[in-house]
Amino acid sequence: MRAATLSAARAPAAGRVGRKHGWQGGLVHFVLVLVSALVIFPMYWMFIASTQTNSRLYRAPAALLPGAQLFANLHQLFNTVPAGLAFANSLLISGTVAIGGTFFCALAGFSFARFTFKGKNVLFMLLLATLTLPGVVSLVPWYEMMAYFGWINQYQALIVPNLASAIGIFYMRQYIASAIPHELLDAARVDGSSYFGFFGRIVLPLIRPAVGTVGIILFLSSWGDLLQPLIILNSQNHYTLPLMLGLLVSQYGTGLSLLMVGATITTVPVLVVFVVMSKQFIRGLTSGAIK
Amino acid sequence: MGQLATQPVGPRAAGEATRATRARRPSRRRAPGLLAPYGFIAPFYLLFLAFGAFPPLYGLYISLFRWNGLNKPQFVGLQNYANVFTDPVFWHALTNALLVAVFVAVPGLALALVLAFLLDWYAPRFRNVYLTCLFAPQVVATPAAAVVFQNIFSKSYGVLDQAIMALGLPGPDWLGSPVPMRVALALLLLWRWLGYNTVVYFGGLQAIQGELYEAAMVDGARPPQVLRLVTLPQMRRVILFTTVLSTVGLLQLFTEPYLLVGAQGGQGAAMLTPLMYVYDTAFQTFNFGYASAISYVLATVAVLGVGINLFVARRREAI
Repeated sequence: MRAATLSAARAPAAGRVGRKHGWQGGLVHFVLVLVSALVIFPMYWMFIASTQTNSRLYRAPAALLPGAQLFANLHQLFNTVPAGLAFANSLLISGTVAIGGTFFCALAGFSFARFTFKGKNVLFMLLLATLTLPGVVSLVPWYEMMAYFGWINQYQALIVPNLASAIGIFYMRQYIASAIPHELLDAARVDGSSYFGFFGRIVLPLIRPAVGTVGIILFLSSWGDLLQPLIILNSQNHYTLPLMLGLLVSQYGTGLSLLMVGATITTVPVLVVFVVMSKQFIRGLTSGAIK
Repeated sequence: MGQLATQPVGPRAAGEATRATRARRPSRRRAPGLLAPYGFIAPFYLLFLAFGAFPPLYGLYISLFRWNGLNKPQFVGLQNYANVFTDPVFWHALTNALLVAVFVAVPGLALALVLAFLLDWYAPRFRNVYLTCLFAPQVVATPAAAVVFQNIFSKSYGVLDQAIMALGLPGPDWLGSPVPMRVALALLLLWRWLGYNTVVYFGGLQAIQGELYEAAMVDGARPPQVLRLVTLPQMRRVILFTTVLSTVGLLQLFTEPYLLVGAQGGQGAAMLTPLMYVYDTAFQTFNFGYASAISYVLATVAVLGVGINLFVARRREAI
């Protein structure tokens, strides 16, 4: 690359093609490793703490290596709060939101991306307008509506309203617009296929990265949500994992190790899935972020 | 569910055939089946209208009343809003939010930009590993993170204090006094969002064409100049995106402070966020009308914040 000749003359860093940068490369690695380690540490600590006994955790120096108490702590956790139930509840709610929400966003995003219809711009502007309003303003009305529907303490309250994600539809629209060329749709029209068939057979497979990204985003925001379940759920059997953690926190005398193991079961499943799919996920994010 | 068949038969086929014939008309983007587009957006839009568009309007309506959810609402006009402006707790919460926004967003975004730049320009090996590590906090459920950090921040026994004391310095009471509390929250938020912002910036940097850099190099630009004249302008939209996101997002902080120090915001209410105050007003004090009014004032502040961000971005463009 031309940059090589120039770099010899002036700027120390050669182009972005990953050439050797000498001592600078080493420094970059050092910084990145340092920051990454700092970021990873709390998660590591969480796992370590869930394998220790309570009394060990309250002694200095801090335990930095795994102990042997993981199963004992898990056992105690399940005896103290309905943890398994909470896990199942969270999975049910977040899974439904993720799958249903992604599907609806894909459908609607497809329509906004590839169709022209009356009222399209108005509808889109409306969507945009609500995005500028923080969710705060919907809190009290949301509660009132749930009460009106009789959905207090019901899962529907946590699922149905969260299916229409504005961010999801924006992302889908943008992705579909760039991934599905006009010609493809025209070809399908000429072929005589129905739009829904086209959508199911051709569009969906092509937008798999977007489906993954939006699905994960919806899943995560539902999985970690504390506020809505806190307001709506009032019987412990319906609690989601965040609420269960809140319960542990507020109960006097909850041992630290119990808290940590609760945090672990809230985190580990999702973290594992994330690490496995990280490459696709990050790629999906970086390509969709440019608006 | 529909067929791509070439020779369809049956009553359905008649519809298909008609549609196919109609489809051969010239205009490419016109949807011949008038209902199809609406069918596609219907599930989403119905839900959106019910739960996305209607509630804010209903909330505005509620804010004009005094209501505890049970008794008959009393119309009080703009009285609630007047009360908000004279409410010291509200201003305190708002100040907290703004402090957090400034002290978390600015260093956080700057650091993210630096990291993204390092990852883009030097393209080190294991780049994806770094990105994955940095992004991982996003995947940790907020309550779990709050619980873990509550322990990390705990006085004397928390890992952080132990590390500090090992250096010979006194370990602050992170969750017990106002100033350290704010720093603790800032650290937690930084931990959580650094990866996200880095990934977003990284995407933006990657999208900058190599030719621009080459042209700059040919013109004799030194790296700082390249950064200022090529990279930053190209990144403007992305930076704007992250600042807007941070502004609006930080104003809606709830889970972390709630779990770290409790619903009252801890000592001196230093961690009381506006959303916590709305929650408290609505669901502990059962003052729905007032809570709605607070939320709308908050929303106005958020919109103003976004507006300021956009304005600053536009002025930069003019330079």
